Amino acid sequence: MMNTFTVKILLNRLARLAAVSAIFLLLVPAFASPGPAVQSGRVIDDFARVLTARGWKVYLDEPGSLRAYRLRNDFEELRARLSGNADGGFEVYDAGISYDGMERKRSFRIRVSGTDETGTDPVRVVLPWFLESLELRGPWRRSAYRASVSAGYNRFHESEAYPRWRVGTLQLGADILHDPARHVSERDMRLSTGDYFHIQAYANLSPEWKDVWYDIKLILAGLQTISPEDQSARTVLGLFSGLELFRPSMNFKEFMWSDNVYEDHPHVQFLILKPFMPGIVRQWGPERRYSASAFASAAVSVNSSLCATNISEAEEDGLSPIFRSKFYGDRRQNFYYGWSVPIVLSLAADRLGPLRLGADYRFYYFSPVENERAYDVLNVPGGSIGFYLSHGVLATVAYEYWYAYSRLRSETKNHSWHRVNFGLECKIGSGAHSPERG
Amino acid sequence: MAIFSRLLGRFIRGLALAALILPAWAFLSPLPAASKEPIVRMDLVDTDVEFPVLGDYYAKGFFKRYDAAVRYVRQAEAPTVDEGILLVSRRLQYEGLYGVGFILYPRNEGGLVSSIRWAIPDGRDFERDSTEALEGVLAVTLTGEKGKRGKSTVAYALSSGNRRISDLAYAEKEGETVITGYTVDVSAPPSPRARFWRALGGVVLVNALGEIDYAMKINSNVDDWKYPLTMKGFKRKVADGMRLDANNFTTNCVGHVYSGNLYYNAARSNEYGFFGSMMFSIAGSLMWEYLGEFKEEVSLNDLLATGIGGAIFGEALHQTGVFVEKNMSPGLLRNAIVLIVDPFRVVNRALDRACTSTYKISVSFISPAQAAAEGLKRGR
Repeated sequence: MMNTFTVKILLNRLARLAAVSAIFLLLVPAFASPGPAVQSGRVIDDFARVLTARGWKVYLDEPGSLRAYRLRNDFEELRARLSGNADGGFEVYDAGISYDGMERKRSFRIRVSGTDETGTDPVRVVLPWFLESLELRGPWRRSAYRASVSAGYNRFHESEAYPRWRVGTLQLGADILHDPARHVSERDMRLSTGDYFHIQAYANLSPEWKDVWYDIKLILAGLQTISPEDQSARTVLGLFSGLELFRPSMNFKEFMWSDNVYEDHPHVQFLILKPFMPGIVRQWGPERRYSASAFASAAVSVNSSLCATNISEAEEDGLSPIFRSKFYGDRRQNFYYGWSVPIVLSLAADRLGPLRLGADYRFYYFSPVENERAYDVLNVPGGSIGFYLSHGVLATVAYEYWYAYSRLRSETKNHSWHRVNFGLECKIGSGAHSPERG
Repeated sequence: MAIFSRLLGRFIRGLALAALILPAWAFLSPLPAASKEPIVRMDLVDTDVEFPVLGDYYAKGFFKRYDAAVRYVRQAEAPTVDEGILLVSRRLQYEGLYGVGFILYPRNEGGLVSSIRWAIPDGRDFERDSTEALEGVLAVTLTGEKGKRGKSTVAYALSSGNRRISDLAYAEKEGETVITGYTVDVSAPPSPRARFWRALGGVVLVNALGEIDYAMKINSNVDDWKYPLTMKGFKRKVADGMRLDANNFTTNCVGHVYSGNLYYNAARSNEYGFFGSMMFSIAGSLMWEYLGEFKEEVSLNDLLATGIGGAIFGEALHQTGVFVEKNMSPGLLRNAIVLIVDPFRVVNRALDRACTSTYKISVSFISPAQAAAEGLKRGR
């Protein structure tokens, strides 16, 4: 009897608990429902989704507003905001958008959803207005590119017989930087493939001595950080991919490659494929006039060794098979397939008064993929001074010291030469004269 | 008091029981049959019997996929939208060009009539464009409950970067902001499939030109021949794997990188990204190594220089081409520079211009007066 009574009490308490819980659970949604909520956040979220699908980088830090940038061979900047207030049976939305200098505002008065069967979804009314605004880009154009071309006189000085003392060449150069993210003012931004792209190239041309060099850097993924206070400091940290070629002996007269120009002389030539190259670019100071960059990679290469060039055929017999010349008819060439470690360090200060100063150091280590005790090292420190003749034209003087050191088994060889260049550099494209940072 | 207490106890027990049983019952009981919406009636009218565009679609069974009772009315005397949708085609001539105009009158909530108009110019892509437009508009109109457009009109405009909203018109009606109409500008560029074949065609073209060059230099290439031109020879080649070749520096480091750039830009100018285009440079390189140089051993260094080096070099030339286009006025000189830097860009842009058609879909919410002017009876 006692037990039955206890069970009844327990059941009673359990039932009351269940009932209270049921009532509580039934009522909670009613309290949780905020009623006629202003839905500006939802509209902005939908707009952000559309922008993202169309290749924009979107920032949604503050409720009811967004900032977006598009960096596809261009720089586009967009700000959108939407605030809403309840007004009786209506919600009043104030929308605004700016897109590269275009400013647009509008108010929308929308019947609150759910209170009337004709109630309208603000997404249906306001979102089309934002989308239509995407077709109304303003006049501001900040160039994604910074480019220059140069022409100058290039001279070689060395103690060896070749290149000959006082042999001069015409040097033509080009430099194209695709870096739209430099205009962005966000503290952090993820950079996608191709958002940073840098091509540098020159060709030295004369009837007797020619060479071609190019260096390409393409970002695969990266992060850009900008100092939040005055945005004067910027850092791009990323994983890059790159390709670099240095190739002497382009025959100007025939405008085709000719090998007999250099095969009897000590020389270096290389193609370096850098599939993955960590790199950093740092800019700081007023208008980001100071910059430094560093790139290093483990790469694959095709290159020549001093130990295997400028020697007679008879001397080649003592070489490892991989260092013996390959014959193409009556021509011979010498190169080997290698692993390499290229490192590039650069420092620059732009617009120090009328001057631009630069210093670079390039280091290359090559080692054959075949089993052979050999390596080559190339050091190229250099510096340049530029004087602004006008906003986009500089007179430049540059100096480079090339030092190559090769080892094959116990034999070592080294060779060095100096290059001096006097030139004119001209900034080209719309980026040359537009205000920009860095 | 005791009675009250007992009653309260029973009430609470009952409530608890209900709270426990009701969810279980709701969970276990079979779902009620979905209420079947009445099927929308859709009348098709070709106003010009010489050009029965909608009749053709109807005969092909195009409308069977839609949940609508479709009738083909050869010519409507008094079009009505009383019970659903009226789709009318009309032969148009403007600026010397012929085309077909379509008007679709769906009934939306509240019995108001709206009209969606679009015109497809005659041409090679008429069939494709008119089908795509018709599908887009019907997806909007027939989605959800009958004749009621939800967010899907906007969704249609957003479902592709090639559709853009313009001419948005608002009105204040009874203190409320409502949209009275807008236009969806549609550009129909070549499809991704067409672009794939164009890119692949470019790769094959480069290899074909390479093959001609190879044949012209056959005396120097014969030194590298190792396999007979037979299936057995090919199997041996595959089994032998890859090696590092001893071709000259120019061929390996300049020629192969340049041809890789051509493969890459054949795809890049067809709107592939960096990695997608790199797949084409790798594929082109494999095609060349295994088929173009059929009798030679496969060269690993060529594959790397062409496939990956060519992609990076190709992106450099692509960027240079874009830079030139952005910074020079259109003209012969600009085209000549871009042609030298990135020939496939010039070719594919010309093809794009030739193959892209544009048309507009105008959506407007018309007043009863306008409906009457257009000869429509307004239904409720």
